[in-house]
Amino acid sequence: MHSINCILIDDERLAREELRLLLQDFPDFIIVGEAANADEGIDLITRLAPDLIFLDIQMPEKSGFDLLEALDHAPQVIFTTAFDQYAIRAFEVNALDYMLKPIRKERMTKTLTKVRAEIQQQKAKPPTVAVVSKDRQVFIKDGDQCHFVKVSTISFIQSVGNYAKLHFEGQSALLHRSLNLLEQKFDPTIFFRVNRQEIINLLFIEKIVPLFKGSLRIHLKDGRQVEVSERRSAKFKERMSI
Amino acid sequence: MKFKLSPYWICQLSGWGLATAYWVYWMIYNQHPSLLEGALITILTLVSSIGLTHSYYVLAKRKGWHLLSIRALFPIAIIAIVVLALLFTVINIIINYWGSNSCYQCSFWDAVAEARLRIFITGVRLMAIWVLAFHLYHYAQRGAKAETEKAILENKAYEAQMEKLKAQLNPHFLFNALNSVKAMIALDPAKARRAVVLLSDILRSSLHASKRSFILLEEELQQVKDYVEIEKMRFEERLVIELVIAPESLPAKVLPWCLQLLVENAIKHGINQRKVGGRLRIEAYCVAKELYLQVTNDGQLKKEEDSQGLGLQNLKERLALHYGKTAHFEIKNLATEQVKATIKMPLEYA
Repeated sequence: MHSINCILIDDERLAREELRLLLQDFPDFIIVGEAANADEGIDLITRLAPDLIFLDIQMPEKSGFDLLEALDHAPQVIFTTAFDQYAIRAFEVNALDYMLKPIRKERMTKTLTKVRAEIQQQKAKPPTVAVVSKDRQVFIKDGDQCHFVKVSTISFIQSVGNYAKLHFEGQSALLHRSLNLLEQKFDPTIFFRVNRQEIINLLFIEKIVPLFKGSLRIHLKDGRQVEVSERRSAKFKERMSI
Repeated sequence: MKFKLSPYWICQLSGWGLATAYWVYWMIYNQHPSLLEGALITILTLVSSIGLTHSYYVLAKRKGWHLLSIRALFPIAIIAIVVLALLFTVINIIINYWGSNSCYQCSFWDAVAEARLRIFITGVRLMAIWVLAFHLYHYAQRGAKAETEKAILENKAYEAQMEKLKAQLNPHFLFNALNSVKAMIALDPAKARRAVVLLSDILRSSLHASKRSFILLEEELQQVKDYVEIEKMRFEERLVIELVIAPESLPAKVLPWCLQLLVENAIKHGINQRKVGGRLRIEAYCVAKELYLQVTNDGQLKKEEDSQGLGLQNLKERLALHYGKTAHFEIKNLATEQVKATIKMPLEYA
């Protein structure tokens, strides 16, 4: 079994100490760093590339959400917060892992067991370097709504001004990234840029209809139709024939 | 367009309308010789009486007689009744004489001699009723207003109480504090024991919060000290506290929770928003019979956002209700990247 590298991010030293104490019972979780605010956290995460972060939501100047938004791809996250259940409900629907402070041992065990399984599963696969693999997740804060989206569930990405609109599991959310950037970051074996405006997930293709002059129309499983530009159609055929 | 009579005019018109009905009844009962003359006299009497009493109404309102105490009002009311009754008499004699040519075969001065006492007594009676009703109405109004103000004041105090409860039992403060205590139990048991006592006292003071409208600054300060001691345990070097309290301010009466509110705001919206934390300075001093409570913290107010929070709004209202214009609250950014909140209130000892 692989060990799991963790970073603790909380503005209160005692809160970090408390997490350390709790983690003593889970020797495969190794604390590789501690940060007292979001900026330190971002720095540590980029340098150490941990498997897991324990993240406080309310911190000075930048919140835990701001931290996640600043990352190209988020490691596995467990939120630790003193907020009550009601306040956390906004992102509970997205099945985020969170623990309420002070943290109960049972809750800690349950959450860590789940997260451990997920991380081990990911680690068992060959590593994909520099791209966001389909098992990774992206964090999106769209207004008050927070989404933690598994990349493999994204069916379709649309360019909307400076934003990219991600469609996943019947929902959609705006991410402040350009389509060009996402094209580079996302796993090219499953994501394909069909035209200037759109990227599709190849796993969501239902049917491909050839149009005149060699261009294509693709029907996605969620009923959406996209037209592949002439220039991209050749690339697409090349990709699909492999 | 809908025309709505004010309560004053409803009373004015219905009162004199009743008197007029009585006069008409007597005229018919006495078989007044000329219906036209009778009607003319009645209308003129009605209009002149309303004019007289309305003049008094305008004068009383302008001079503020309706706000006087009974003792101060009494002589004015007596004089007013006599003067009004005299004017009533003069006007009515003239109306009656000119309007009743057919039945007065005598000279004007004979008519005056004949009717003056009778009309004067009627006048005194009517004007006394009017003046009495007018002032009684205003007494009732003032009573009701005082009741309302008292109710508002109590409500504000209650709101402040709830606000205090919410702020102190604020999940963020409480759960973070408990979480810190949990860590301290393992790392520094003595400190943990101290924290439990402080937390208990904070909880007790919010649960058993006194219903008194004033407490001594000394008591208020104790609560504040407990609170900042807990926060200091959590913030550690990120919070630097400085207390500058003039000894003569300690026995002064203050509104419960006023200083606590400023300190909580300073930590929550000031120090806690800064990565490096900051300094918190709590001051109390007296200048020229005025008590100044001052909280200065590192940070800057964001526009409109925190300066008008519910807590501060409530504090302002409570100050206004208790002290009127003699108390003052101000919160502002200083050029030194600091925020300064000041309460100025009359220095009062219990």
